[in-house]
Amino acid sequence: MPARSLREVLEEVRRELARAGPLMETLVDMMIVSEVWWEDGTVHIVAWVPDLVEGKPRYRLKHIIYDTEQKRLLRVEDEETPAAGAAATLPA
Amino acid sequence: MRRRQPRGRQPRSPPRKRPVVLLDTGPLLERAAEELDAGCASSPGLRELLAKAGKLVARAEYVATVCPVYVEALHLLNSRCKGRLRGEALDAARSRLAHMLASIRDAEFDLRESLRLVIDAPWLDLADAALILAAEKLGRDVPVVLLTVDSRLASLARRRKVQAFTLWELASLLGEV
Repeated sequence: MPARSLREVLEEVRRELARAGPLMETLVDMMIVSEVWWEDGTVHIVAWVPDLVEGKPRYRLKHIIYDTEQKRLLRVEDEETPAAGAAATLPA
Repeated sequence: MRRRQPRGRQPRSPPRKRPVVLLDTGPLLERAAEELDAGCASSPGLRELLAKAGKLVARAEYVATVCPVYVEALHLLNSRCKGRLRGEALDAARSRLAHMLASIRDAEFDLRESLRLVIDAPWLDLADAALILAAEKLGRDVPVVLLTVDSRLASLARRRKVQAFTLWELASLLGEV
């Protein structure tokens, strides 16, 4: 079991992402965590993160790796977007 | 549903935690209205928004809500569908509705704590307060996404570090994902 709760870790990750700039500081509140797992002192987060695409805010799926001991972001990379129509409705 | 691995990575042994989606009355009601298919639809366009939101929460571990939301939704449904359904049609609709509600899990919340939250923020109803507390409790260990149509609830939940979104907020950012 991780020493810190997921909420605490997510707050740290949001703070780190917000450092990217004033726009990100605003948009990071709209991040939607889709998947998370712990691995060797790091937390892996797959999340929908608002980003500017051709000047418009759009969600992009990102894989974020955060070092929970050093409290720093190790990597933020694009993830593959699920196929269109993979889920047209909320899962029951 | 197939669990996707990050691009270029080997399958991982650590268990992944997928989000729990918590539904407020609006989204729950829309699902119920769709299930009833009795012309008791809620706000125009809400069904399309809910379908769009589904793209973001496709990999949800499960969908849940809290007891006061059920009660609120059932009360609203009764009001909306009153007069449209009678006799066997009404019984059949209730049966379908019960089946749909049974597919949604209960989330735990503390009633007294919920009431205290309502005392502090009287504009909240009990269902809203219970949802926020349930999200906070669940969110200690798993990602939680609270879906609502109430922007004030979404704002308050976010201030309390809960992932909460109105369906309109999601739709405005979905674009072409």
